[in-house]
Amino acid sequence: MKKWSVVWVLAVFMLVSLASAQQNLVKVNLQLKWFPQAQFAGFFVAKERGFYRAQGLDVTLLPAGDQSPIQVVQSGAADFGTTWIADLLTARERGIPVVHLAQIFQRSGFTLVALKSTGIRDLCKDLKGKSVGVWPSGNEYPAVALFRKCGLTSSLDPRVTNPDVTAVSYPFDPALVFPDKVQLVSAMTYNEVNQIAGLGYDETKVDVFKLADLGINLLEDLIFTTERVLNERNFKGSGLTGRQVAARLIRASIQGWNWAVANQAETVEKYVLPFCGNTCKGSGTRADAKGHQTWQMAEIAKLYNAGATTKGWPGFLVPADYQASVRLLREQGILTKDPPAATVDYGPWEAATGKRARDWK
Amino acid sequence: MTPVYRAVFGGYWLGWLLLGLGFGLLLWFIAAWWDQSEPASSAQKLLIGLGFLGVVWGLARVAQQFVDTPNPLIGFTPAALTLLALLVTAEALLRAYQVPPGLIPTPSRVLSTLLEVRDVLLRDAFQTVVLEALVGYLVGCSLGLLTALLISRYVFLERGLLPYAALFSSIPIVALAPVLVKMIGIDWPSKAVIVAITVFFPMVVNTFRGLTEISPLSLDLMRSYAANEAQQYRWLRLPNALPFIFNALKLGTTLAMIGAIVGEFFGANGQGLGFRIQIEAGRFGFDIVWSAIIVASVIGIAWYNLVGWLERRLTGWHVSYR
Repeated sequence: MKKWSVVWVLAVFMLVSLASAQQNLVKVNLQLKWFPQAQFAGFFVAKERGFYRAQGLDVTLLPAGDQSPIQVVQSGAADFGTTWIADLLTARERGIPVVHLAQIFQRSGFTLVALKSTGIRDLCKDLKGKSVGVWPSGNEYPAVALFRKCGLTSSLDPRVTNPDVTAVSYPFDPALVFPDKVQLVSAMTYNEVNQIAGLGYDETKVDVFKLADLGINLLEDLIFTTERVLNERNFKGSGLTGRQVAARLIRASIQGWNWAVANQAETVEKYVLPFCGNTCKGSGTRADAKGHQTWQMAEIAKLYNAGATTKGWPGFLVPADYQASVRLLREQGILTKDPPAATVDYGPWEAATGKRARDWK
Repeated sequence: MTPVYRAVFGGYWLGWLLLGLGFGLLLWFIAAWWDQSEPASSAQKLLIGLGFLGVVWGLARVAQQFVDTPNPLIGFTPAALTLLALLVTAEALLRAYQVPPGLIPTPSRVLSTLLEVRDVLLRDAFQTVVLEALVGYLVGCSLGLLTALLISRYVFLERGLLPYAALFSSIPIVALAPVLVKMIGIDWPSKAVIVAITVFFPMVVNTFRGLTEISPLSLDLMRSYAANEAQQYRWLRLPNALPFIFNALKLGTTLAMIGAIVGEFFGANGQGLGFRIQIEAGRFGFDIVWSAIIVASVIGIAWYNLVGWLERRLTGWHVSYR
């Protein structure tokens, strides 16, 4: 009798502690830049393999359509987000207090694709008079930077009446405009390049111009938040500061990314395909979701495993890369002044990794 | 009594004084805060509140003065002052709280941007209004008119088509925009088709009502004159339908602008007001977004009033204008 009551007490105690452990998790919303796909594999791994939970976080990964992640985070609907650096810096210049926390991709995957038959060999020389397909919502900046670098104006510029380049906007699917409406179309190395190939325009028929090779290496997927979240003394009543939550989020996310990149097949099978449904698919002959995501995962790994990551500093925003992005945007007139120092905060990343930014060599 | 004399001695002087003081307070604050980058103190925010109160109170007192004015321009003064008061207060508040321009730009910033980018916006407006909205509107309305004529003439069409026309006229056709843009392409014709479909159904339903809701006495009269079908339409049915047709035409102007702008959100060939709004909203250029909205609104209002003017010219005999 007595023995049983001890067991009961223990069982109840365990249940209660389990329940309270559940409740102690801090709820965090992370706004992804796009629909679920291998581009965000590391975040899915961190969530599904419990890396976030181990850090005391209950992270919800929010998919995005074509709205800007910055607008979602600014409005408070999400606490953290992933976006590209040009988008972040221009928002900052327009007075939105966003802060760069960690740089996931160390290399730009932005390309412009043209049919070989268009005869476009040298982008700068051959762009004039052409139509270029771009995505709205702050994803057009790499293309704009290229136009400006080549000394060309575009219809994206509200102050130019007779643009050299016509920028055609469309809802992301290259099949809508390519190759009938535009000679060049935006494509990420890890997604649209394969979609275009699936539509029957593979490497033998198209040229893929990587903007990074043309000196436009604007950094892409990064983790950001707002000053409001970062300076929170008591994040959602959890007792943690905004900075502590950010550090935990970064630590678990990097852990997830390292795992995803090291175990790509398993990641795609278990942590990407079950979550992305229809948005996983490629196009045409390469529509198969598994094939497309496996390919995407490999391409994403190339963007993650570059620069600082290869030196054991994943998530680190290399100051020289940052300066180069800022300089490029300023030279092209996309930014009019240097962003304030508070735009980049190494604190949470340092707390997450135990490294110090100033030790970077 | 001259208006000035009445304003001063007709009991309205307190209202004008309050109005002047209120505007003065607001403008003074805006001038003082023109180059500031810090939020204002609460005392200063209180002053803005006081200024706004003064303006509203003053307006309430002076508005009566304009009730009996025969000149419509002078009669518009209270409404213009209200708009001005709202703009000036918004300007002062946005400056006092230092709201970033990437969220809400101040009215003065929007106006200066509007001047700066007017050429591009006018070109955008040509694409959106003339090519997309107007072409779609004319095609949709004429087809709607024709369809209504046929439906009113042939009973089997009335039975077979009209229920669907009534059904379609009450659903948001704009929801079809992404489908149509994908089907037809990103150039302006896809948006014109969206507009045409949007304005078509209200046109059919309204015109049909106008053609058929005819007093039996008039019909009898027509028969007693031995009027044939065409004469009946010319002298009875069409004139009777005119007010209904104009109803649909006026409704159509608004629908056409909405259809064209929203259609561009789903793909555009590098110009158009909807394209501009979408691109600039994504890059936090809300001063340009608001400028585009102003251009679209001004054109929309002008278009609506043009149709309204035509209506008064052509249906001046109608009971609502007599």
